[in-house]
Amino acid sequence: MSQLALPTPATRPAPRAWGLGVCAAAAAAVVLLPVVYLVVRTIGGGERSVETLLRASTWALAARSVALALTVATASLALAGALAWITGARDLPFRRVWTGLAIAPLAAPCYLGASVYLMGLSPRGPLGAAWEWLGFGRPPTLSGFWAAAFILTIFVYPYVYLPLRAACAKADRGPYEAARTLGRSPVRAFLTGVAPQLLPAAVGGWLFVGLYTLSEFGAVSLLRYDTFTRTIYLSYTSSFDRSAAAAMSLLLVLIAAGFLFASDRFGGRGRADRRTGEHAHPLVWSLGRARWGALAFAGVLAALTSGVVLVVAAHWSTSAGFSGRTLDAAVSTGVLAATAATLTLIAGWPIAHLVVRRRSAFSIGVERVSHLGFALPGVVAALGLAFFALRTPFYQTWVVLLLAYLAMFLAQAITPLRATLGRISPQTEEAARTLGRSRASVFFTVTLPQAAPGAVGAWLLVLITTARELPATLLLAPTGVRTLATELWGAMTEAEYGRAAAPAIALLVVSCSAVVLVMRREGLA
Amino acid sequence: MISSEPLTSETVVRCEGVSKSFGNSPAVREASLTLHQGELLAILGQSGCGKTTLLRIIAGLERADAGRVEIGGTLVDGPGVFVSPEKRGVGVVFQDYALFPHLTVEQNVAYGLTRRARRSRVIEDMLEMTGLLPLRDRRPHELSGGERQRTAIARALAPKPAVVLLDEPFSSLDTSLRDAVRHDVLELLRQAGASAVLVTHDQEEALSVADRVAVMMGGGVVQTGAPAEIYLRPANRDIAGLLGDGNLLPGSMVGDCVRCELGALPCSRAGGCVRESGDCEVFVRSEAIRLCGIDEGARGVVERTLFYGHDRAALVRMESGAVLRVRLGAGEVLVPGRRVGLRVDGDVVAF
Repeated sequence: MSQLALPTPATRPAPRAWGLGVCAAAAAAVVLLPVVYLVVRTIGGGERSVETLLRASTWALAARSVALALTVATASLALAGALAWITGARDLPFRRVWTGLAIAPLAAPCYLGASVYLMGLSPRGPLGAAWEWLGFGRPPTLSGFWAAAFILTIFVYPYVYLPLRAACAKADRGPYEAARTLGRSPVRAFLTGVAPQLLPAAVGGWLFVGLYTLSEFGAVSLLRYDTFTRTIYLSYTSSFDRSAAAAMSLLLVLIAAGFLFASDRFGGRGRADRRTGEHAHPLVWSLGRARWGALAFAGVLAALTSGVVLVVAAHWSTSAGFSGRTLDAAVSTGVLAATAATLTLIAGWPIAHLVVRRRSAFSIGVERVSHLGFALPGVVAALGLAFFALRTPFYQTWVVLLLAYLAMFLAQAITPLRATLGRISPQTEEAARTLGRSRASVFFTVTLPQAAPGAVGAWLLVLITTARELPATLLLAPTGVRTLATELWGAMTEAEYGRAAAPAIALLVVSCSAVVLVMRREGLA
Repeated sequence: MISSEPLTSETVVRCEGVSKSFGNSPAVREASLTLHQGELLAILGQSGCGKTTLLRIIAGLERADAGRVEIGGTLVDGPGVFVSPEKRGVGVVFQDYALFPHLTVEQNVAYGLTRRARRSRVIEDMLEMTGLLPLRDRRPHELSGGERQRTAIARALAPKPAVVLLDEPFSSLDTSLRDAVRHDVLELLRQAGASAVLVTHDQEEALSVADRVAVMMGGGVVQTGAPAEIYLRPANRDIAGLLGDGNLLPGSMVGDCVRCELGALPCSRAGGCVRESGDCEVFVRSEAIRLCGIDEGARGVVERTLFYGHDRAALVRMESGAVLRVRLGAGEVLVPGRRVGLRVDGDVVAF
């Protein structure tokens, strides 16, 4: 039997994790890059920037954007609250189906939802025909504030529904029962005993939808409601007033950052402490006589979202052929999204690792910076990076587009990665070290295999988000490169609905996998 | 079995003046200990006393701020020297086992072996010795607590480490399972002839299984010795309080005896703690106090009786007002309020 290798004295090892720190800081810097260039450009604009910021029309625009955001957020909260109550009830038949239908609108990014409604209501569309057949006269034109608010609400409310549903599932009925035994009515007992447990999820979801609406570009443009994003896009592409675009972008980022800050501050990190609920007594409730009304409500909503999307898609799929053009776009979408997802995952890994394993002011700071990506509307990220790229040889190349995706979606990769790495016991890595393996070997034989399922999930999530992304792709894609999203956008802006059908259906298929992913993460499927 | 060639020194691990702080809070202060060839040394201390940190320093998972650590006569941690854990030849059994969840039992055991060693019979032998052969293809989540424990031991022993470090390895097991598993594990260690350090907060565990016990308090090793020595002659009152239950009484030294409420008792002195004569504290183990006739010993009144199943105890209020804890024999039944006499039969220690 061989004697153990006697250890050889070595010199003091290099300070640990330096390399990781540099990688993490570099990734976080990419998130700041667009903002930095917007600041540079705005300052460079001098008087014109000041003038833009002081113009009454700029502030009117801000008011229009915020008004839409608040309306959509509040309507979404109401819708999500009702659905959470209905789909969580014990006596609802086919609960899983209804839950699935409640989440399903996630599969359609808002611009796709708007496209579907526009296509459906057009003279050759199935909704318009149905409308006339019912004797309502000419189908309505969808445009303006209420059209935008309606479309956005029915396609984004799942972002409130999901956290609210999770909060309901982990809520403890103890405080409610205690309040009832202390002589409170059901309503007052709900307010004191249950509402506080749901509040973080509700507020967090409300703010998130507000943030989402502020960043939304495609749907508001198709529905011709002027918000910051649309105006910034137009003034950049018309290219006669670019510093005004930069100044407005900065203002938008500031408002968005306000929403993000508030959402972190008041919304809590809801999902992180889901475990604590496992031992609690869960809330249980029934719909009772309200059951038929509730079913009707959920049914109408499902008809307006999934129903309309399916009917319109079915109608146009017969008349629109899948051309080579769509296939080209699908291939470049796939390549682009896979590259972006891989890049984002690699960039996010060091940050997630540092936050989980070496919590320090530095790692928390880096993570916060990457988190700012949530407050980076696609239009703004694109604009900032376009200004940056003008001074580099990368202008009009894939590199800039990939950087924009990285800036926007880094945080999306970090969140699941962090959860995954957090579940790996550091002791398994230490055990591997004491069994004679080097750091690198431990990473590949112990860490990576354990992290693989979560990492693949994070990768797919970024892949799908990237595949659906519209504004940054529109502004930064090299000339001649078309993705499914830009194809759909091009056809829609020219009102060529026949040409829009194929990319729309392809996008829908890609997006459906996102819903499946989300449902698996939430333990609903 | 662990070392085919005899080591030049009997000492397998030597720590000298090891200190380690995390930020501003010191975890280990000037701790020193030695582990001899083939010995099982228990490090006993309450949670937070730094015992796990000391273990991690020996394993190379933490680096000491000051002091030296030698393994097999080679300096592995000291001024300007740090040998990384994978080069130390140390086996660690972690508190929650830290098995690789994505690998089977067999792959876990094989993980630390070189390619050549994997082709030999080492894995088979290890699995056979630990009784894991029928479970070789299972994943850790398909194992019971005791089976995981044995897998962790097999994994740590397979590469023939110079020393095995066990960090509270039995604390996550059910009480019912613990004794049996503990017995199995220690048998395995002895079979393998391994030198081992066992970190524990369970005094019964430390006293019953270890060849020697090192008591840690406040980050330092305060006493090292054979279990009986530690138990019967604790170096100070804190150590006395940590091990078993007993009573502290005021007393005074007179020559080799100590005078206290229980009479004049022959005693041993804790090293250097007590002057030749004068006031001191007397430590009397509860099992050293016996019941006797009321006129034969010190008098007291039974306040409460405590039933533990395997034995019972009584709290007796003495005339001075002090309450003593007395271990009772199987047949002895007392009711509160009864007057009893107490005498001491066994060692007492004065501080």
